[in-house]
Amino acid sequence: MGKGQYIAKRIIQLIITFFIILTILFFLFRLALPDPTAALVMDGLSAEEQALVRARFGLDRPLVEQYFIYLRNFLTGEFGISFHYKSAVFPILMEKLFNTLALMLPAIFISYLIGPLLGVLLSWKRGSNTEFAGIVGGLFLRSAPVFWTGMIFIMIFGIWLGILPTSGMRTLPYTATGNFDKIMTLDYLRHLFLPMLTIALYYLGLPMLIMRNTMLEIMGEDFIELCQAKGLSERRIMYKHVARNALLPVVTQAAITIGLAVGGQVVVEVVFSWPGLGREMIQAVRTSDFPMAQSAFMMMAGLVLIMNTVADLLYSYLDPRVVLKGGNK
Amino acid sequence: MRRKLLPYLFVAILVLVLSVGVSAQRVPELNIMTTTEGYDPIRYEAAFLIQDNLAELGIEVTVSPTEFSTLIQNFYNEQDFEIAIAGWSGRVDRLDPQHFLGTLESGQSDLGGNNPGGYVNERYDELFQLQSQEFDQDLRREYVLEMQSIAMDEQPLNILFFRDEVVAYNKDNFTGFVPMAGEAIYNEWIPFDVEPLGADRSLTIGTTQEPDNINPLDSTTVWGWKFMRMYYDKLIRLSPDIEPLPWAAESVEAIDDNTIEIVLRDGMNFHDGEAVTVEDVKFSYDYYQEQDFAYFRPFYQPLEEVIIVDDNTLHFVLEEPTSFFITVTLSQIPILPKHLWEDIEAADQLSPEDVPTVGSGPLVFDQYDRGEYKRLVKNEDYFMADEIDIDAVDFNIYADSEGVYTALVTEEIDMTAWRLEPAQINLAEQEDHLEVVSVPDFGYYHMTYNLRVPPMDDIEFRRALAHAVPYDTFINVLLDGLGERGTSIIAPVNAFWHNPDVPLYDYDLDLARERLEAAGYWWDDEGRLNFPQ
Amino acid sequence: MAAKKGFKERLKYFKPMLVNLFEPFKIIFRDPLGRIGAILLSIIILIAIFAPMLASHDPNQMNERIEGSVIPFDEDGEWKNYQVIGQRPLNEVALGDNYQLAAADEGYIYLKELGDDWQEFKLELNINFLAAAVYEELRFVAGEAGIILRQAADSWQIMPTNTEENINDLIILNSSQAYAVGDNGLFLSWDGDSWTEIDSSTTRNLREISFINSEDGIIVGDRGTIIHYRDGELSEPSFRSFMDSTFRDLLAVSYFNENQAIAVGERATVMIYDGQDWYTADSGASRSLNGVIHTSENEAYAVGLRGSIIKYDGESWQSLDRITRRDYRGISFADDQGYIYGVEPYINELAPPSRDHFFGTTHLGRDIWSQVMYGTRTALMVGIIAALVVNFIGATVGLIAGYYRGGVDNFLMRIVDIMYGLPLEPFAIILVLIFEPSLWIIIMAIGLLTWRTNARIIRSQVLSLVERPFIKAARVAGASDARIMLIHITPNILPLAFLQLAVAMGYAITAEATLSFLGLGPPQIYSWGTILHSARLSGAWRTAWWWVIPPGLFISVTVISVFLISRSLEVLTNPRLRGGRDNAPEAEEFENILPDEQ
Repeated sequence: MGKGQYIAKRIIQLIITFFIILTILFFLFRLALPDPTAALVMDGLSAEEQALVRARFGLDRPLVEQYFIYLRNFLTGEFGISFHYKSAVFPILMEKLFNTLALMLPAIFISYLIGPLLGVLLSWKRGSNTEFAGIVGGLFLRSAPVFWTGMIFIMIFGIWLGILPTSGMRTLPYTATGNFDKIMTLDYLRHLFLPMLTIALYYLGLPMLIMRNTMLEIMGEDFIELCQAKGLSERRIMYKHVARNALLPVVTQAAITIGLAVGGQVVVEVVFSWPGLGREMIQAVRTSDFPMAQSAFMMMAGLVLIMNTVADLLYSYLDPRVVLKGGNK
Repeated sequence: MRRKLLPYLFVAILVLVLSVGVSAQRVPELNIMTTTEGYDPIRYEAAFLIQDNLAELGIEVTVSPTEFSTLIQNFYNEQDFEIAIAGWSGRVDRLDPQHFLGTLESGQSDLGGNNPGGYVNERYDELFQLQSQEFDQDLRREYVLEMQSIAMDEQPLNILFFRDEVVAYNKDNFTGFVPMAGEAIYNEWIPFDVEPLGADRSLTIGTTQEPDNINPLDSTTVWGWKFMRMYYDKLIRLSPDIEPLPWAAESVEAIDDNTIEIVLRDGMNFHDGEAVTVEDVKFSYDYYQEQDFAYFRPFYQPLEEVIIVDDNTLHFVLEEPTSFFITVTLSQIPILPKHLWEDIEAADQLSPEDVPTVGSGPLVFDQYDRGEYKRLVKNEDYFMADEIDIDAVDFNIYADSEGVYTALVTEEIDMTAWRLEPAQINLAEQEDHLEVVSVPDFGYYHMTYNLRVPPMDDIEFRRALAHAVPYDTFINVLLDGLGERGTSIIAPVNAFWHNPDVPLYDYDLDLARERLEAAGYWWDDEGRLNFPQ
Repeated sequence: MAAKKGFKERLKYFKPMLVNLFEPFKIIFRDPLGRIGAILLSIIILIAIFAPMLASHDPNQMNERIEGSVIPFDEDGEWKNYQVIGQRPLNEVALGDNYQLAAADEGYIYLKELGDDWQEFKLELNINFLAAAVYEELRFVAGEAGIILRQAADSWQIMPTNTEENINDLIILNSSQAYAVGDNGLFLSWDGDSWTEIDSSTTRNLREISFINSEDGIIVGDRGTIIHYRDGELSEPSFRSFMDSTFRDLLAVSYFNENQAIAVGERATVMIYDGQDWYTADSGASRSLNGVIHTSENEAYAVGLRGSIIKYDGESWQSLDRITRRDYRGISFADDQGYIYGVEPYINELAPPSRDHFFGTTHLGRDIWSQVMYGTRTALMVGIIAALVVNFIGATVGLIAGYYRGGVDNFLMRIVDIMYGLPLEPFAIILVLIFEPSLWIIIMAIGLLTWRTNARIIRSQVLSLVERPFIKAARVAGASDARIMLIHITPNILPLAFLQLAVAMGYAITAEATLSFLGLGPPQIYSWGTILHSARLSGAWRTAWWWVIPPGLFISVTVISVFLISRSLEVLTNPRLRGGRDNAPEAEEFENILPDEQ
């Protein structure tokens, strides 16, 4: 099977998967979540008045009809009207998505910049106490729950020392004309620091350990011995030959991590009151705001699917040892 | 082998039959539905305290903390509950007893109604009709007091506690806050009462709650309304003591049972410079009716028509005498500029950027960034502009109460719009620059019984249960002393309407046991409560 | 013969399985890091098993700290010095000429002679003494069930009263005149000899009585009851007929002279009497006031819940700095001596670590150490069960897919692809939000979502196993599919499954903590995540470090111990140590490096 065909197949698979998840989610929400108008009773709305609101949201139609309307809307790029905000879902979600990425991408960037470097260092110091400490440290960073490290950072930097802001993306009031305007400030960086550190530390362990492991693996391979026999310096071998080859799994892992980024750190958003997609989704599920919850989730799922596919393709392109086969045989 | 087994089998069957026979009389395990800890830790803990006490009486209880929207759905829309702990918030329009009394009226006991417990009492229903049509306040009060006596005596629900609204403000920067029952200091008197002490003349309010939208014909949350009433004017304003004060109206007078005459104040302008006329007032009320805005339906429903008498005078004609029309309807429905709204056919279809934000109130809408920031500035042309000492009101929106509290301590904000958490109260009381204000609420937290399910259909059982509710623990431990034990559906702070003589059931397990025993209930060998034989 | 052979054969099949079962443990202990992990995990498991014994308190118990304490009025005219004098809360302190007498809960009284310390006496009656009164050498205490005691010589004797109601206050005016008030409108008078009941014409609980002279007194009680008692005549229980009235419970009154009286009560109600009428006043406080006393003509103090002390200067009230956050029961003053006393059984809130509470307490006085101990159980239970679920589903799917290949494989792997498309954390949150919170939902959410990795790994292992000669041989010999899968393949994937078990367990523990931290955990079952959730919810975590650090450390240590174990196991399955945990797509050519047993 040629590369083009393989890619096409992967993309078709992706679309089908996406569609199935969409369907599961639609029925899960409609069947299991309470009626979104129920909470209106608390504002004194009688049963008939609630029925009016239900009709307005199209919730009085048969479920299957609602499903097809939803599908049609989805295909035409219409994400629906939020029951809570009573305005279009899409612009709200795009803003939240932007906020989430504004936190996650710098964090992932930093951990995948520093992690592999530390990994190289560890493999170099093989068998030493440094390696031992590095492994335990890396594992500890992966073990400590992010919400906890976040809380500890807030206690230390926000409350004890009082030097860094602990919630939100920027100091209010703030007027910005566009998304990029929002993050081009020192104030944003100050707000970014603690949550980014929390996430970066958590993500740091994985690339570090992968890098170390792959390095060791490659160092055992024949061509390295060949290099040594050629009399190349150890530093040169390390960087030119070993590290370069060892980066491959790190790169694929980075792609997967980026996919997870959007939905992956809801708790960090909660701890640092970051106005991101994850919190919006939880809120929407809690208030039965179907269009909002669904679209937020599909955004997360879509990115995961795309990045997983990208990682697969990357892997197949970059690793000379892998021959592209039709999917999973 | 077989023969040996038989007697054992017989004994086993006997025990089974007997135990079925016994357990048929047992008071079944009851379920208390309450909120999750995350939604409201107070109600969550309260349910478990009640569970412990009922266990002492031999009544097995399970507690189900439920997501709020599911709880509301089960409680109101499906009436699928045995005992539910819920609450009503004290909104200013609920100071009129109409709404709270209505929660026990039999007409509202259908699915989705406000009386999910299914309480039916003929005398109560009759009084409810009488009071809602009575213009004479003293006579109406008589009815309202009697209704409370009936309801609290029969205990279709147990009022657990009134929780104080505890807020804080920066006393170094601003002064003059006048707390209002149920609304604390974030009320519509802010522009007139608050005075800056320093150079900063913009009052910054920190909040976690955000309007769902700022379309006066589409917003269905109290946070939308609390914001919009700052820049829309109303005919009536309720004073901090809940007296109706003519505001955009120069005078309000009931000329007969069904007609209210309004004389409009002269010289008022909308924020875009157009004059406020009787046309605008009539248009606003007509428009709400025409658009069929469900959220305000109870307010405008009694209205038959608005008649323009002359340039300054209007008559509001009601379908039937309605006691709350002046205090509630006239003080809640905003005056909209006709010239901006009349061409809008379906107001609820407006996209957010197309919603007119022009009112005629003391403050002028300036800016709203969803999830972050709102700003109102002083209306220099307002007829009471001289009374307004602040230049602007800023709202900073935070993700959670933690964010609000931190901002309060770091002086990023000057006051909170929503209550502090109990542990924050303790900390705030130690801050020198903060003044903690504790305002009694007339909204209440209650434990409602589903009266369709035995034994909750038994008055005596419910009365006994009322003696098993640890009211003092709620106040002293859960509310940190800031609250009041539940007495009546109309809170003591609503002094005019509250009945101070309603029967009270003090926390006393012995008394509870006596009452149960007197009603014929009995305890089996395991100490479980059984129905009367 | 046939049976014997069958047994032998079976033994032969099971031997590798058994060997394989022990192999992992050997490997773990060979690796120093693995050893550390195993030891840590064993400790955690032991803690979980013995949690009820290790826990020093019921984790749900709101722990109280009960003590009887006084704050004397010092020489500077201030209340400052908080003294604990006993283990029972004091209900009233009566001031005599050269001694003080205090009535306390559970049959205790305290006595202080001039210049001495407080002495504790336990009377035989096991009731709470609610009131004390003295006059020269007369000493009375009264309490529940209508009991009034009088000290005669060295013993206390019951004075007959004919009532069962609780007596809330007691006052002796002179050697032949004393009064007591109590629940349900109880009003008693003493003529120097015996007690007689006076009809108070109310059934409300009467709380306190205060006199300016033997003929003029005021009684206050529940729901705004104020009764004037003048010249032997009781006024109407006039809760409504004054200028202002209240319907809140009035708990204390101080009648200073004909023109000055103050009554205080619930919700910081203050009523002031000017000789004619009662007026409500704004005390500026909001918590209940339990006691009030005049110290001079224009000075009075009121005390109440949470250490509130407010001072009246004749015009307005002013809050004094808190000495304690505990609840005061009352205040007494006479001749420049005075006491604020109490205190209520008090929730031992936010106590830092101490010998009673190793990890301190929460804002509701719950013991954090015990919660953390019980949390160990929850974490391990969820961890182990979820890991088993994950492994069971994952291994079964992987085995079937790898063995049958073709259409079955394709179908199963498509499902795995779908699972990979579900972002884990958000989907688990949705699942738990939708259903009622319980541990099983959490376990199922984790289990249903994380088997995907296992399935893939096991499948590639099986794919390479079925190409092995011994499997082919078994096929040729006519063994059924089930038999081959069970006897020939399963033993070979066990070590891998064991590794995945450890990985899944670490993952499940973190996931459970995360869900619980978001408030999605089951009610009243303590898990480390729940503890942190409550800490954050209460707002107290910003200062209460003892509430935050321990549960997080326990999570970290448990998860790291599992990671260390799985890391040393990786050597067993893949010496090349390819990294990548959940969500890492496995390379298509998964190398099999199992020692070939056959």
